[in-house]
Amino acid sequence: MAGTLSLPDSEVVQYLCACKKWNSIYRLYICRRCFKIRCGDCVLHEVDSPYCPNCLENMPSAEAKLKKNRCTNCFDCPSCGHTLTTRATSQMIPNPDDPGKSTPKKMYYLACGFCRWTTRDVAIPDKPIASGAWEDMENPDAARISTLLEHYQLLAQKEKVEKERKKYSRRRSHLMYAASMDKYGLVSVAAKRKGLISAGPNPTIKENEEINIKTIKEAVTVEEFPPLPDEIFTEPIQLTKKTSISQRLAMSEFQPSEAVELYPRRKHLLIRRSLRCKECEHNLSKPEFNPLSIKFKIQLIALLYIPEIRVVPPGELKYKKDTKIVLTFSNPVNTNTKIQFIQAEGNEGEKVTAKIELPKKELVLAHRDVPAMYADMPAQQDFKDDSSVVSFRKANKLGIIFKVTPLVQEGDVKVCFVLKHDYLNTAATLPSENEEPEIVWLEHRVTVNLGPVTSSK
Amino acid sequence: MELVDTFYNNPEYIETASGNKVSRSSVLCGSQNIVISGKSIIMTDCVIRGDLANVRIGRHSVISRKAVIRPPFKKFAKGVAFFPLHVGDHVFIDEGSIVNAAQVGSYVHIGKNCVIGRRCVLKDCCAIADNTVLPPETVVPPFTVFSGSPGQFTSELPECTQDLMIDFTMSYYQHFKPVGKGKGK
Amino acid sequence: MPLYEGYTSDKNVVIFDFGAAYTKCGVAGEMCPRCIIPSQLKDQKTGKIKQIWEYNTEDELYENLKDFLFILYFRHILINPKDRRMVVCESLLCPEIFRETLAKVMFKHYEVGSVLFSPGHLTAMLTLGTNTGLVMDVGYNETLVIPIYEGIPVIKALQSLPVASKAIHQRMKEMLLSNGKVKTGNEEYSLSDKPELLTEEILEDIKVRCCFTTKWDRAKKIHDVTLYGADISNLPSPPPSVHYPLDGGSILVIDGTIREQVCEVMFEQDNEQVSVTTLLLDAIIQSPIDMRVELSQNIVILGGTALLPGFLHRIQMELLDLIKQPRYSNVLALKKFRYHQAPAKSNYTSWLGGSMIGSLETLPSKSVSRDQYTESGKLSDWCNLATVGQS
Repeated sequence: MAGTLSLPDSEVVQYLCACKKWNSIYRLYICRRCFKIRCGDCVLHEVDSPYCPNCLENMPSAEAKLKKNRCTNCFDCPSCGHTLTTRATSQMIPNPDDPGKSTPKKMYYLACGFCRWTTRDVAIPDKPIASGAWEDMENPDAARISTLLEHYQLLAQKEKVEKERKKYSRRRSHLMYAASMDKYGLVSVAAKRKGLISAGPNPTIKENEEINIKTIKEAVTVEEFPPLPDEIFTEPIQLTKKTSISQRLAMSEFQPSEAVELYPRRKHLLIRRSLRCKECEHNLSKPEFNPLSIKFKIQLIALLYIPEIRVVPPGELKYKKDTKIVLTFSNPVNTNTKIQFIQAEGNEGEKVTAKIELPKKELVLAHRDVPAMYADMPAQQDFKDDSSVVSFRKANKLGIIFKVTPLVQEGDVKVCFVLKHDYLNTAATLPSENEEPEIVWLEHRVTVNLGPVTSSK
Repeated sequence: MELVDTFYNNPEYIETASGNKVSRSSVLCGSQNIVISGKSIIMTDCVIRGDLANVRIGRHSVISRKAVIRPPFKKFAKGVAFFPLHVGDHVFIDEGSIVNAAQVGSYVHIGKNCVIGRRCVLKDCCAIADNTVLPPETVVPPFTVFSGSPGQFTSELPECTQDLMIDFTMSYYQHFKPVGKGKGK
Repeated sequence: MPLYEGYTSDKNVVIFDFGAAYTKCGVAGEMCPRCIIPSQLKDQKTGKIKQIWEYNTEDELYENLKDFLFILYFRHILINPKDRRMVVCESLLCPEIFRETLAKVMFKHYEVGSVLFSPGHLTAMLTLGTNTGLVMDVGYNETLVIPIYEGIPVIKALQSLPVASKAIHQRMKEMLLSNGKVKTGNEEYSLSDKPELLTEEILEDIKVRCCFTTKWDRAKKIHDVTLYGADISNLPSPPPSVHYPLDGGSILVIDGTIREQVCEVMFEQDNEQVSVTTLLLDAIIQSPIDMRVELSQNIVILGGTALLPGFLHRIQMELLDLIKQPRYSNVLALKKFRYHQAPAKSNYTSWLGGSMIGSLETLPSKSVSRDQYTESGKLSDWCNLATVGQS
C-alpha cells in the first residue's frame, strides 16, 4: 500500500454511493443536507478558478476565456511538451554613435531543459525583452473565415427577424392595445416576462429595415494540386526533422509536418473544481481561490464524516472454514460515534463470495483527538470492551473481530454488510436556536475484499 | 489495508531525541547543514548532500532506501551556486528516487525511481508517479499527479490528500519497529 | 420561441466532432479547435488505453462518453457544461446508439442546455461559402462520399468504402511482419519474431512521418506487379528505406517499398472495381443528371487521411484517368474536375463548420433543448438535414 498514489483507487473497501456505484471512501463526498453519500458521478462539477500550472497565477475566468485558456507568460516546448525557460545572452550590436565600436545588449530566447529545443533551432530571432515579445502566429485563412462568419451571422439575424415578425403580426394587436391601456407599466413587465416584447434580439436592426446581405465571394476552386516533390523518391528522409502526429495536433491550426516549423505554444491552464450536490445544489467542495492553497472553503468529503474501514491482513482463508478477521474502524469526527452492523439484504451489484458474522452489540468509536495524536500521549479512555468482539482499541481506531466463511474455492473473498453509525448534524441547526444538534443515523453498504482464498491443497 | 509492521534491526538505526530514526548506513554529508525536525525516517543507503547547501526536512517524513536528496545548483556567469532544499512535513519519498528539487512541499508523495530535476518546485499535496522524470525547473501544483518522461500533469488527487498523507506517514512511523537489542540511542 | 433564446449572447457554445480516431473540440466562433486528441481513455489503474468507440453494451458506451466528456470539459475547454449549448458534428452514418447515448450523457449527466446534431459533411460546406459540392470524407474507418446540392445531401447517391487510415495501418502491419527487420546492436532479427513491437501508435507514427501517396504513373506500375502479377522487375526503383527507432535501442528498418505502397490499399480496385477514387465518380453517376456537372466542379475532400502527402494530387490524376475509361466515359461526359480548398486543415474542416453554426443566433431554434429532451425522453428525428444547410 502506498500513500496517495494507489490508495484512492484501491478496491479493497468500497462504499455504495447514493447513485448505486461502488467507490473507495477517498473518492466520496457526503451531502449534509440530503445525508447521502455522493461520488464524482452524482455531483455537479464546476470550473472554479483557472490557473497556470507553471507560474501558478490565477487568471479570472473571463480573461481565461479570452486567452483561450492559455497563460500569457509561460510556454511549452512544441517538441516534448515541457515548459520552456527564458535564457539570456548578450549580443554585440553596433553602437549608433560610434560605428566602429559595438556594445553588448541583452537578448532573450526560449529553451527546453528536457529535449534541448530552442527557439533558435527554428530560426525565431531572439527578443530584446524577456517576456511578452513572443507573438502568436496568424492563421493564414483568418480573413476568409471571418468574412464567412459575418455573412452567416447576417443571414441568421435576418432569418430570426423574419421569424419574429411573423409572430408579431399575430400577437401585436392584442399586446399593443393592452400596452396603450397600461398606465402602470404592468403589462409590459408581464409581457417581458413572457419573453414577448424583449424578443427583439439586436437593437441595431430596425424591424422594418430589410437587412442588406451582400453576396460573398465565391469560394475559389482549383483544378490541380501540387504533385509530390521528386526528391521524396531519391532523398533519404530524416526522421528527426519530421514532426510526430501529437506535435502536429498540438498546433491544430498549422499542423506542421517539418520540425523547423514548430513554434512555442502557450501553456494551457488548469482549473480547480468545485462540486455541488445534484439534488439540493449545495456545495460539497469548494477550494480556496489561491491555487497554492491546500485548504478548502467547503470540504464535505466522506473521509471526514464517515468511519473509515481498513483490513488487517488476514491469515489463511480456507474454503468453508470459519476464520476470524479484523477490520479497523477509524472515527474521523471529534465526538464519540456509535456503530452497529446489519446484514446486507438484496444485491446492489456486489459479488459476495463469503458469509460474514457481524457483532450484534453496538460499539463506540472514540473521538478523534488531533493534539494527542501529535503529542504521542495515550489518551485516557474508559471503554468496557468485550474482548470477543474487540481486538484492540487505539485512540480513535477500533479493531473489530468478524467471523468469515469463504464460499468459493478460488478467487477473492468478498463480504458485504451495512455499517450504521450516528452522526451529529451540526449543519442543520441555526446558531440562534439553543437546541441540541440533531443526531442522525446513517447507513452505508460496504464491501470488503479480503484477498484470495488459500487453496486447500 | 491496514499497514503492517516493518521491522528494522535495532543497532542499524539511530533514534534521535526528537524521534528521528536515521539509518547508520545512510550517507549524510555535511550533517551540520541537515536539519530534520522530528519523527522522520531516513532509511538505509540514503544519501543527503548537506555539504552542498542546507537541507531541511520536516516532521513525519519518510526517505526510503537508496533515495538521494541533493540541493540544486544554478549556473551563473562565474561558476555555480547551490541552493538550500526544503522538504515539508508528511512527505514520503519512495525507494531509489533522486530529488534535486528546490522545494518539496508538505503531504507530497514521490514514487519509486523518480528523478526530480534541478530546482523543481513541488507544492503541497501533490504526487509523482513511479519512474517519472521531472525535467529541471518543473513546477508541480497542489492536487496534481505528474508522470512520464518528461513528467507531465496526468491526473488529479482527491480532496482528502492531506488527511491521507498525514495518516500514512504517521502510521508508517508507528509501524516502523526495532527488533533485537542494541544501542538504540 | 422559448424564453431560452435569451441565452444566445452567451458565446460559450462548445463544438465537438467525435472522430473514430481523433476528437476535435473547441468553442464556437473560433477558427480552430482548442484540442484535437485521440478518441480514447486511459484507465488510471491499469494504464490501459481504451477507444471510446469500443463498447459491448450501451452502459459501457455511456461510461466511456461520460469520462471522455469530463476530460474535454475540465481539462481542455474549461467551461461548465451545465445549461450551455453545444454542437456535435456527426457522420451521416453515425450509429443511432452512439447518438442516443451521447444525448443521454449530455442532457442527463452534464445537464447541458441544448444540443445540435449536425452532419459533418454539411457543416464542412459552410466553411466554403457554397452549398453545392461533392463531399468526400477520408477518415479512420471508412471513406464516405456524399453529394450535397443546394444544402441538401443526396442520400441516395451516398457511397462508402471501408478503407481509410485503419486499412493503411493494417496493410503496413502485414508488410512489415512479412519482411520487416529489427536491429538491436549487432543482432538482426525478423519483426515477425516480435510482432508485439508494432503498436497502433507506432504504425500511425510511421505512416505520418515516412509514408506518402505515390504518383499515378508509378502507382500504375506497382499495381501491375502487386495486383496483376507482372514481373517484379517492373517495379519503379523504391524510395530510400528508413531506420526507425523502436523503444529499447532497437531499430526497425522500413523498406522504401513499404513507404510507397501502404497507401495503395485505398486505390486498389477491389473485385467490384471500387476504390476511393471511383467512389467520387459513382456518387456523381447516382446523382440526378442535372447536378452532375456542378458536383464535378465542386469536389471537397475532408478527413485526416487526406493530409497524407500526395493524396490530393493522386485523386486528381486518377479522376482524369478514370473518366476516360469506357466504364465512365459512356455515362459521364465530364472532362475536368475542380476542387475546393477549405480555409482549414482537412482534419478539422467539419469542426470549423460546426464552429460557424454554433456562433449563429439561430442556433437555439435549431437545437434540442434539455426541456424538449426530458419531455420526449429521446432525440426526435428533427435532425433532418433540411434544417441545417444554409441558414
